[in-house]
Amino acid sequence: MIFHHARRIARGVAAAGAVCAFGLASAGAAQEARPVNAESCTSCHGPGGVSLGAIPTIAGQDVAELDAALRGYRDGARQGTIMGRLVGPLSDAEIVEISAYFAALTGPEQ
Amino acid sequence: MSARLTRRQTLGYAGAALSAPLLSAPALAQGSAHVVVIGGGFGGASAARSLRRVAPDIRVTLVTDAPEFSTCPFSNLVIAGLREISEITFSYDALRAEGVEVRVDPAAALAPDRREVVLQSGDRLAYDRAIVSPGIDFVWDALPGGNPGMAASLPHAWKAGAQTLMLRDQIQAMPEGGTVIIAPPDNPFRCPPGPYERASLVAHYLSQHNPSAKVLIVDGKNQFSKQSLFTEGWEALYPGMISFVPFSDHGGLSAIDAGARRIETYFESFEADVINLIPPQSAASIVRDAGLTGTGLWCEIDGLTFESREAEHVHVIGDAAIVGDMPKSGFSASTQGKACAHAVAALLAQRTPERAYLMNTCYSLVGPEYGISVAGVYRSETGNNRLSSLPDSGGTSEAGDLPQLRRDEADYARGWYANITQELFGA
Repeated sequence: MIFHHARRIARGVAAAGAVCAFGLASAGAAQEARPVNAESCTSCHGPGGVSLGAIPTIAGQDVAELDAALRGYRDGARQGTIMGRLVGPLSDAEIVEISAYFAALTGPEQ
Repeated sequence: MSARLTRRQTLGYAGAALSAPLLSAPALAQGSAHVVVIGGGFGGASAARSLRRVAPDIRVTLVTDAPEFSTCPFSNLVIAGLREISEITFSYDALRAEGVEVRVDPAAALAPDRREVVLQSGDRLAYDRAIVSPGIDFVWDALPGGNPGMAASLPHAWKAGAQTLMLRDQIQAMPEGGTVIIAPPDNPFRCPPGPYERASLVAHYLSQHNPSAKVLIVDGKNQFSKQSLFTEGWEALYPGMISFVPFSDHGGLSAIDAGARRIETYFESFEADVINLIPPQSAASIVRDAGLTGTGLWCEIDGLTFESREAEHVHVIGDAAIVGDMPKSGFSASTQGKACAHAVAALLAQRTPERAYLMNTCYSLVGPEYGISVAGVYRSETGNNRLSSLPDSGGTSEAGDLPQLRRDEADYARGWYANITQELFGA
């Protein structure tokens, strides 16, 4: 099957050529408020990063905590049910970009 | 960081200059562009909503078959009596409120040469770009004596709605000690773990209401998604109730007697009280008729923009497309819809689309409090439709006797469903 490759080999080195844009580099980017690399996150964490159920809300979280969590999952220092499987290939720049985006959103209590 | 930004900007402008001279008048000002989205499921709703958010100046029309959409994800809970169909059925009101023009008028034809979609009513919609997410059709010819009428007594329940309820009702009406056959096709097909979640939740229902009944999976393949995790769960929750008959043990279907509810295979024949016959599948007929599947059954696309390799200005997402290693799942379709919206907005503004980090997660419920998952991560890239699973990522939940993990993943499965349906259809 497609996914039978649960690899846990050396982490920390982003795939060659995986350097994606940090920030909104394109002309006319004012309309692209959400970085394309953050789009998948909300399918589980809820629209705008505000979750309805057991999966944590990420909108409005402290940027340093989001950044540390993503790095922890990526580098294997932090354990979770699924995040370690989803963020392994993220570059440092992508983690900064995603963390900054969700930290800047308004959380449910605010 | 700023060095990367500068380099990326330079590359982006260079690319744009090569593909379309910046000083020449663009064919379409973004403000007047019209995108027609075909399909009101996970891919289409995601693309339409995302496009309104990413590029509010673009006019978006969503063409769909019905005023409401019932999701295939969580339809196995309806079959098992754990949810009502109303709880997995959604309207398009929230899309309308965001400025998506919703046409409940099935798309009858797609004419890429005229950049036009023809609706069943005869109305014609001109587009600058089309995003097509029509899902699957069944290849009845691939079954012995196969025809669509078989679904009237042997429900596929592989498109959610009336078929889901038919299968539920048949299982509930089954005699004591009866047998349910689930007959999944070979790969590729919509929702690779779906038949096995279905077997699990049917067994959950039977264990409470008809405990001497059996579930038999007569499979068109030898292995399936999350197989060791499912098998482990079946032994823990429903010992002896579910049997898996791989293709190599039966050799394929040779005859189907819908009236007698019997299937013959090359090595063995099987009788049952309920047969859930899930036929082989292809991309929906609208894209096959438009020539978008070439000589095959599925649409090949550019891995960065999802643009068809057979027709310009038509982007195909979701189950109808072969998107590299991404499985045919609602989550994948939704992810692709978002990335495709970014790409289409960029193309209409004469910009070079950015590469995207794409995720998929498929949760399955082996029981109401027993969840498992498989995940994959991909990067969109132009050229050859690879979208390979990235190294150092993806894979299934840990195996073993881990009750807390199974409970957590069951909670997360419900949380995922609540959030993705809210994102697609919620206000």
